Amino acid sequence: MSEASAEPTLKKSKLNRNNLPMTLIVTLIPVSVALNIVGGYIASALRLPVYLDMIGTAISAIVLGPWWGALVGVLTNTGSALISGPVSLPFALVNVVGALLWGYGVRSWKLGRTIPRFFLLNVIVAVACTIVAAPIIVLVFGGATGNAADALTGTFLAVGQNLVGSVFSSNILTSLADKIIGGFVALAIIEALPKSLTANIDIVKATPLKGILFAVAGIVIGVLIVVIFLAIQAGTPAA
Amino acid sequence: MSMQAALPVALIPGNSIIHRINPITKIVWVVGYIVLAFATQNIIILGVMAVFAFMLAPIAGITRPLLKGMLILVPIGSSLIALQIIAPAVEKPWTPAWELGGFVIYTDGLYYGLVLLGRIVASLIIALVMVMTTHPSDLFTSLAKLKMPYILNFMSSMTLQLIPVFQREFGIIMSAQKSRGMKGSGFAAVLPSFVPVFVGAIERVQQLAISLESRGFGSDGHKTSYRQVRARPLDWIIGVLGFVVLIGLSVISILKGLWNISALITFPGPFVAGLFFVCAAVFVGFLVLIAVFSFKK
Repeated sequence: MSEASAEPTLKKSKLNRNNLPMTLIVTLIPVSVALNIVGGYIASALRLPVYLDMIGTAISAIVLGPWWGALVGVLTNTGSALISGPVSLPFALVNVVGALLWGYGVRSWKLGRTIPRFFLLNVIVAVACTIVAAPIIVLVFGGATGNAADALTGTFLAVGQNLVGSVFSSNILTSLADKIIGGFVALAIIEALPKSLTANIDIVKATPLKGILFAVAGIVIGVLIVVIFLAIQAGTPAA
Repeated sequence: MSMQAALPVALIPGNSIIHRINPITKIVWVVGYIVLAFATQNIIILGVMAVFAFMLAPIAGITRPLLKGMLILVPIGSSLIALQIIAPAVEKPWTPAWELGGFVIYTDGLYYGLVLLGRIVASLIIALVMVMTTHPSDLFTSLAKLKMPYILNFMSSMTLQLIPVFQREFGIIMSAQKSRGMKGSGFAAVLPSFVPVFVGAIERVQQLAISLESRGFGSDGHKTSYRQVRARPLDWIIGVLGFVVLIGLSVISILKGLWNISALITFPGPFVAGLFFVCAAVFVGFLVLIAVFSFKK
């Protein structure tokens, strides 16, 4: 190494594709990660039946871009590994998939333009997250997640559904509620952000959460009926 | 509301031999543990790994906080064992242990259930020992020595500092909202609590970015750290020993087809049935406890 290269050289941080300085992105990422982790605490403090631990991922994926969101996802799970042990580490993949879908969905596929489109995007995120999470839950945790959804998994197994099917069925129910509500909370937060951050994003204005909650309840009940029917169907030949 | 509580797992200050080991040596052990745990299905190896990691706790003086950190295993462990007993992850035919109507539980799943649990327990204990005995700054300084990009290091360490700040902020905002008559729980409280915490945090970022910019964050050149971490000969010996033993055992285990010894161990039917009911009861009891706790005013 030459002596000259060891001398620090000051330079103004570059603007990236969002016209945001790099230092702003470098600080926004840890804030989003911390908000993901704190979001989980807030959800449990408010006694909500959902996790809401991917709101930071959704905001960063939509505002900064899908791959920045993916970085938030990875850092969230490595960060929580340092706080509560490595149990959450494999689920980084779920967070990354959610970030990519939210980011590309709003920025490239224009799924944020109307409320129904944004609702559809959150349903897609929920299904994709379950598709990624279910094999991890089965292979690493033998089907267990340690929360109330396991009781549902056990019920599906007792009816005759196989382990992957049971985990998928119980996970899709919690995931739908979690990602749709989380997505709309993120929408409300994005609307309240400084305009310098959100000027380039084509996204609809937030809507009151009440209507969304009714829609979520409807979808979850509908999917519950379908998965119960499928579990009974799966159990019939074995009986 | 105890939102101002510290992080569930954090550094327990001390000066034990475990505290003084170089963070890179600890990382070698944690990574080696995780590799071996997933490279073997031998419950004896997994059991020894868990016991060895646990024995480090009294040496470091962190037994109590470690046990507290391990509470996370109660729901997931009991549910894992119960689910594996109902649906064994091995090929049929399965040996029934107990039957009632159409509901059958099998002895075959317990071995694999114990393997999965052993992996989680062993990796969790060693990781908790590392986190509880390593100063976060030392960890990040060491990671920088391993050529981890400076920006990534900055983001990770800043995250850990921000979490308690946001928790405190949430406590303040909740008190302010409640004083204006807002409900303290349920979905009605979601937007009035999430939006101010998140937006306040993100707005504050702009000031932080300016202060980073003014301190030349993007400048080239060698970055130095206030905390210095040195590797002593003992750190090298422990690190190399850990690497050789853990990776060696992983290779042997993979060569032996994951070293599954389930054929040598048979669990009696009544034992499996009893264990299933204990695990199911613990899990359901845990859920009831949480439900009662959340509905209690």
